Amino acid sequence: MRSRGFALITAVSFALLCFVIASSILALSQFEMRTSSGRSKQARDYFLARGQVHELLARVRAGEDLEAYTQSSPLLHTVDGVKVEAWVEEDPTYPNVYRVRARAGRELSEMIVSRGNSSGGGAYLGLLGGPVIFGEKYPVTFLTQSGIGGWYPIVDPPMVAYNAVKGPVTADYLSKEYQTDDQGRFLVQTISQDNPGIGLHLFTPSLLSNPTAWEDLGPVPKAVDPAAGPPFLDTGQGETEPLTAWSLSRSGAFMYDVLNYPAGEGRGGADGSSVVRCLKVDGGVWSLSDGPPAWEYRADGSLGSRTLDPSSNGWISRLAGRAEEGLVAVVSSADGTGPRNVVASFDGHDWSALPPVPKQYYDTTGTLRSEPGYLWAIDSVAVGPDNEVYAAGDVSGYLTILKLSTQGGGGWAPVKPPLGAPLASFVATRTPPPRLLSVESDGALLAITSLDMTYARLKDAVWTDLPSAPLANGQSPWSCVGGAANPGAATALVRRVSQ
Amino acid sequence: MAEVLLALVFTAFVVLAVVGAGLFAGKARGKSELHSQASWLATSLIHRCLEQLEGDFEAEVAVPEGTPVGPPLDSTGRFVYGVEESFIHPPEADDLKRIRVTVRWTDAQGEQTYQLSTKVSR
Repeated sequence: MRSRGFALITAVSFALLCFVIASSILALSQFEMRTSSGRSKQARDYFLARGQVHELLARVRAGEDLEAYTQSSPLLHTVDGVKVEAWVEEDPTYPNVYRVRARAGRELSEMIVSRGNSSGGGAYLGLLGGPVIFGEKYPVTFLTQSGIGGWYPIVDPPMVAYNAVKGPVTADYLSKEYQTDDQGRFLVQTISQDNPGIGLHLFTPSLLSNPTAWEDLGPVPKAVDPAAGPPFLDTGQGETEPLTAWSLSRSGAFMYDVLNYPAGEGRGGADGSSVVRCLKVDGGVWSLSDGPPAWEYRADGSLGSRTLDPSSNGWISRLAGRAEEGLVAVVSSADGTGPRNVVASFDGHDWSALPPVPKQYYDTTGTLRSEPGYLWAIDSVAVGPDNEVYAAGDVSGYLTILKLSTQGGGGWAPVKPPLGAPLASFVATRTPPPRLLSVESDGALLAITSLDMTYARLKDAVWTDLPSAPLANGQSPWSCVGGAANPGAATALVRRVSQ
Repeated sequence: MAEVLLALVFTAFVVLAVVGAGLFAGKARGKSELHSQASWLATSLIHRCLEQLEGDFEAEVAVPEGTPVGPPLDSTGRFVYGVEESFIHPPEADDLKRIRVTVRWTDAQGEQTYQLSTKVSR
């Protein structure tokens, strides 16, 4: 009797266990089906919403009013029973910026556009979304201003760098310095620390949210015999060496490279010389030219060769592309006697030294002052559309900007800065050296004016203070550069990020 | 004795039910996996089309129906797909394109279809 009862209890228990197992199997199966179906619907809705954004943009381009489509009266379609609607919202942070949004099911798609001028370009500003921790990735948002009064966010650059051995690797951070040209293009440098290497990425203004606006310029090739070193710009010592002199102009992106750079032996070749080459990339094609001679100015302003290592090429600390061809470079002396920088010009064939820059400056009262000797430490150079050259440095704590006109001779002439712009404290705190100058396509000069790195624009001898860029919560200014495609475009930077 | 027999019959039914549930779940899982693969294929294909068109709006991305894609399936043939491309009105005949990617496959229930559609402007 007891064993019969035991059989029934065992059977019922087994049945219960089986019920639990079967329920679990069925529940898991249903969950997988729901998940799969959910993902499929999500993909369908995403592309429907994305398409609706594009249709709204096409309608606006065809002449319809951007603001005609609001959330309460959207552009509405029903596709396979799914309601798809698109509308436009004004960006709460950036004036003249609109967010074209579309919803299908649970999916929301968005594209950022500007009204009046969708080309972007002009000045670029990087905004930092958090504190800088060395070696860690940090978010930088780039804004651009195209001359109609607003700042527009652009899509992030691809974080790709090139390692000598591994090829393309994930970049860890962006160089703080950027480059622009007078076409509104924008060049950033990505840096990888874990797998040493750099990358260069060029932004060509188009539809602001278009990710294809970024062009990866690929690895920077070693300029001579590939056997002499890795085929990418790299110290070869397991470290990343960001480009220190690079520039962008209508005729291409320039950078310079030091060859014959043996590991652990400093910057000198086997014969004690260094070889500097200038590289240019234009439309994906790299070309090479000789670096400048190892010039330096003597104390009396006469031109000579560097006393130490006269056979080597000159080191370049700054580059600026000329309008059509060639570049202007600051050739640095490094023989321990103090800076004796030479501003040199390369026309595509030959190098020539420009006259030494006189020590002239305007003080805070607007009085032009001169000191004996020459300005040897050149902080920045810029070239205008007529190949006029600007050089900036500091004399007795004052920022001075001088212009060398290519027409009519006359040498360097100081440019009257806005309100004297005393930069003594700025000069004492500059790390890394900032870009001070850039020139717009209409010849207007952009320059830093004060310690807080507010930018101003000089046009027809009149300086204009420029508006600050709006900052979202938690953002702080990171770095800025200008070089506008459109007359009237401007740049502004509120203040430098705290170090 | 009758109770033991009853318990055995009961147990047999339970085992059959569990096996049935397992088979049903297996089939459903297979169907769901095929659907997921089709969705993934369609998403990849439409992304590829959009990349092409963003580089060159005039590019032709249409692909005839029935073009094989993906690895062969065990017992049900393979995925085939097609891409339809058309200019749409409104607003401007040459400024907006519709792209429709259709992926087809066959499972135990017959022919299945998964479709993604979007629009892209110049």
